[in-house]
This record gives sequence, structure tokens and C-alpha cells, in this order.
Amino acid sequence: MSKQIIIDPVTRIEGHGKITIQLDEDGSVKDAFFHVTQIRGFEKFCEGRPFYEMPSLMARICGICPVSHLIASAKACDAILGVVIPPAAEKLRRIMNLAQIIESHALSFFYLASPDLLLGMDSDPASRNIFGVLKNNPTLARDGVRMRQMGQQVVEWLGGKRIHPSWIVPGGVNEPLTVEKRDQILSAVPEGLFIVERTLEWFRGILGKFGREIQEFANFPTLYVGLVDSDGGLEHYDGKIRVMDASGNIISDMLEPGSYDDYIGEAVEPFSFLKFPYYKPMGYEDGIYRVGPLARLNIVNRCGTKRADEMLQEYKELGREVVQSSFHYHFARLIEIVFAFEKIKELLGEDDILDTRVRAHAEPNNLEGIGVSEAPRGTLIHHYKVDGNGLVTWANLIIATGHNNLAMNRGVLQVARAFVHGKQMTDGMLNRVEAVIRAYDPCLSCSTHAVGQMPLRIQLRSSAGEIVDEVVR
Amino acid sequence: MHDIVVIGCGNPLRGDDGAGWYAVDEIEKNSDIDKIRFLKCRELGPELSESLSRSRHALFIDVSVKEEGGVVREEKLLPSPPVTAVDAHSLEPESLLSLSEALYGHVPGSILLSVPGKSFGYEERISDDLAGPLKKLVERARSILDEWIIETDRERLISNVAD
Repeated sequence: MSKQIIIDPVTRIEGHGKITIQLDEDGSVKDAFFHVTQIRGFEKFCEGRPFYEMPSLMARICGICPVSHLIASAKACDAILGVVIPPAAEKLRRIMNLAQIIESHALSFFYLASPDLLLGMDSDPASRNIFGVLKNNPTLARDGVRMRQMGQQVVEWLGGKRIHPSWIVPGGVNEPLTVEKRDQILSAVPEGLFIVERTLEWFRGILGKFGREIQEFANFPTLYVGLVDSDGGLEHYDGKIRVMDASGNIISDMLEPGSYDDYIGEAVEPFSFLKFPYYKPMGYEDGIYRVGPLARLNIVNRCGTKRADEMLQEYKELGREVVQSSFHYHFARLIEIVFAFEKIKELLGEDDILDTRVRAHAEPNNLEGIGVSEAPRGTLIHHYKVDGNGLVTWANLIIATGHNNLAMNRGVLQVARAFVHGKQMTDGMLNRVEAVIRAYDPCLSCSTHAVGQMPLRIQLRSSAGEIVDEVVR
Repeated sequence: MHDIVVIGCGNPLRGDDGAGWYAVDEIEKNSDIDKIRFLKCRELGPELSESLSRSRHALFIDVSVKEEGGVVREEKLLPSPPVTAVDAHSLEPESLLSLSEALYGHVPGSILLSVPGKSFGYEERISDDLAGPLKKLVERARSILDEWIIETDRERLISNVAD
């Protein structure tokens, strides 16, 4: 008799999702699906609103990465205005984006992933949290809290508050940087770098325990997509799109982000509310690709800062041509934190960083605008159309987590086949299925624009739909 | 470093759930901001443990969904690790104090003041029924803060004399 295992919802991710694992007669995994069970709404209910409200509205999509939505939205509005924002404003936006990458990556690594990494995939689920980390490695827990706090603090210094700052506006930012704030941010950089270097040292030490997970966690060929600068370097705010294949060949480069519709398609599957973007020239599903830290570090020639570049070399040695295992998203996040601190310091040292000209003013000059940036989880696209009065008539958002949807589904299947055996159901087995999703750090609240709580229910069903076994925690 | 931290918790976009924020705004008026740090947050995240560890006293203000009637509830808080699965974004005050103790070796003397909320719809106002209890809560909060300021001033004076 065939059976289904349902993990509902998946825990320690942002938002609501569930996993179904279909077993065959022998109890072997036949198929697996990652369902996103939230419904998005922002694209629709922003219709009719003035375009200049969009950054504030769109930031409400998420409490983890509101800055990413602010930036992509503001860039789309810049395009509607038809302005080039002042150089100081661009640098300040970059700094806030990097600060948010620090806090978001810290949340993912220290709060969500480190319990698995420190305590093991088979440890007691009741202790797989920040308190469990605290008990076993107080320094790691303290570093996690401090790292996240530092990212939040920089966002607050710049934008006035930690969550949903309204400082980034169409045309630039609404307040220049002061000497006092610049010095506050600069003073935090050495401690941030120290903490992330210490964490990297610890992480290198535990990697050897996860050989099988590295081998089986979404370790398959896909394309890799992200922004790069004009020299092919790491870029989080602007730049052009690069597409790399699993052999490390650049198959498309310097693609205009604003022409995303030419090369990114969105498919729909009946089992999920989250769409399935794919690289159009290769079709659905061959056009499967990954975005986010792993992809970004795969596609770039260099990071552009000293320590991050040294670590990038170490990172690239993990794979042959590219790093394929999604387990290494964790490593990539830590390297991006190093880069973020180094880059923030570099930007704060620019001559014009205190320039008081930080906003360009104009009436709407275009009826359409597209803003693209790199959010912590990957490439973020905001696309708006407005009428002659500047009221939004249409909006399309492609969120980082969405880009990874095909890869997450394929990853769940790979992990399930490697670790799940239907005749017995252990927590460690199912935790690994969740952990592969967690490696992507998906934000389902972003990608579907809703919020929810995350208890866990696991059901074992017969082919007739009868619940054979159930675990709730 | 502030002697006292006041934390208003809730979501001001969801009716009565924002009462903690309104209370903090009210209490902050005419308060000694050199001695008291005022924070407003939607959830109690682990990062707050560091702020708590640097304070002698902490006053949490929240809305209760369990209690009935217009009563201000006052509860002394002690650190207590969570007994159920932990959400990385949101902790109970006792768990937060426990985290502060474990991470930084210090727990401020803490009190939770709460009033029962009734309306949690999508609106940026508190319900009429909550106005009276919230006023009482603010009065009680001011009284507690006055006591704490006197206490910390006295402790500091004794410490200076001893030095």
C-alpha cells in the first residue's frame, strides 16, 4: 500500500509551507513536493494607490527584509520619475541594504540553522533552537544575538527604526547622513568582522560532520542567476544580470534587469501558491536556477573587498566548477556578512557620503518602472505600471524565494530519497527534509506576501487518504 | 546605559494590540529620558536580551487576550526558559529574561503590566472600552518608574559614598 508523509507546516522558515512525500508500495520515496500554502495579495491591492506610496506599502510585505522591498520599490519609482538619484543617496541606500543583509543572514544562520549545525540533525527538536545553542555553545548564541542586533542597529541609525523604516523614498533618501551616525556605524564594523570571523572558524570545524548532508542537500546541477557589477563583481544594489550554468560557463551576461520578462518565465503548479520562475531560453523545467548567496558567489569573479575575496577563493574550492550543494548556502551567507561589513566601511569613507543632496525631485515622466536589487535571499524584482495621474494600474513582483522554488522542490525530493524510508518515521529523518528548505532561507511571507505561525504537524497517510500516524509539535 | 527600560509590545495596526505602544508614548511624555529607555516592538525578539542585560529594571507593557474586564494586571516576572518549541522571532518576557541571564549574566527586576484587549481588527486605534484601563495602566507605570528611579538613585548614592 502506498503512503504519504506530510510535514505541515515546515518549521524554522519565514512563513507557511508544507511538504508531501509520496511513498511507493515498498516504502521508498516516489515523489516529494514543497507546497507554499499562503496566498499573495500585494500585487492586487496596491492597484489604485499613488506610485510614491509603493515603497512604504511594499515594505510591509515582510518584517525580515523590508529594506529589500523598499529598495526595489524605490528603484521602480525612480524609473517612473525618470531620475538619476544623487550619488550620496545611492551609497546610503547601499549601506542600508548591506546592513539588512547582515541582520537577515544572522537570523538565518544563528537562529534558524545553527541549532541543526551545532546539535545535529537528529537531536531533540525541543532543544533545536537558540536556547539549545546557548546551552551548548554560549559564544555562538551570544554572537548570533549581537550580529543580528548590529544589522538592525545600522538600519535604525539610518532610517529611524529597525523595521519598516521610511527613509528610502522615490528619488533617493529623505535625510542625509550625519557625522555622528557615520561614526557610530564605523565603530561597529571591527566587532562585526571579529564575530563573523570567529563564526567562520567554528563553521569550518563542523563541516566535516555533515558530509552526507553536503552530498545530498540539493546537490544537483542548475543555473545560477544574480546581479553583477560591470566587472563581474559582487553586486547587491544595481548592475546587470548574469546567468551561469552548472559547469561554470557564463551563458548570458550583462542582461538588462529591466528586461527580465525576456528571459524569466513564471510557471504555475496546482500544488503551490508560489509560482515557479524559470530561465526562458531553456524552457520549463530545464530552466531551473538558483539565486541568493550561493548563486551570487558562484557567478562572480570577485567580491571586491579584501577578506571576502580571500574567503571567496576558499569557497570556490568547495566545488569543481561551481558550488552545487545547497548546504553551502550557510557558508556563503557568512562570507556575505564579511563583505557587507567591509563594504559598509568602504562606502562610509567616500568623500561625498555626507553630502546633503540626497533626493531628486520630479513629476512622473514614465508610465512604467522596474526596480531590481539583490535581497538577502536573492534577486528581487518590482515592476509597476501607472496611469497619467501616477496611480498604480498594475504590479508584478518576483521575489527571491520564488526564483528558488523549482530547486527547493527538487532538493526536497533528493533529500527524501536519501534519508526517508517509509517503514519507519524518525524526527531526524524529517528534520533533514525541512533542513534542505531551511538552507535556502525561504521567506514565504515575502514570496506570497502573507504571514503566519509555524507549528509542525507530520502525517503519515495511506493511499486511501487515511491517517496512519501523526506527530504534532 | 539606562537604569530602566520600558518595552511596549504589540502591533499598532491591529486595534487594541497597539495599546503597549500608546502607553509607551504617553509615559515617555515628561519622563527622564536619561534614565529611562523607551522601546516599542511588535514582538519580543532575542536581540532585546542585550538591552535588558544593561538595565536595572524593566517594565513590559502588553495587551492580554485572556483576561476579562477592565482590570490592569501587574505581574512580577522571573526568568524562565521556554517549555515549548521556540519561535526565533518572538519570545515570552520570561524567556527573554532567561536569555538575558544566560547570555549576559544579568536580569533586571521586571514587571509586566497588561490590560485586556477586545478589538484586534485592522485599525490604528484602541477601542473605547480600553481607554479607561489604559489610563490606569499609564498611571500605575509612572508610579512604578518613580519608585525605580528613587531606588536606583539611592543605590548609586550609596555606591558613590562607599567608593
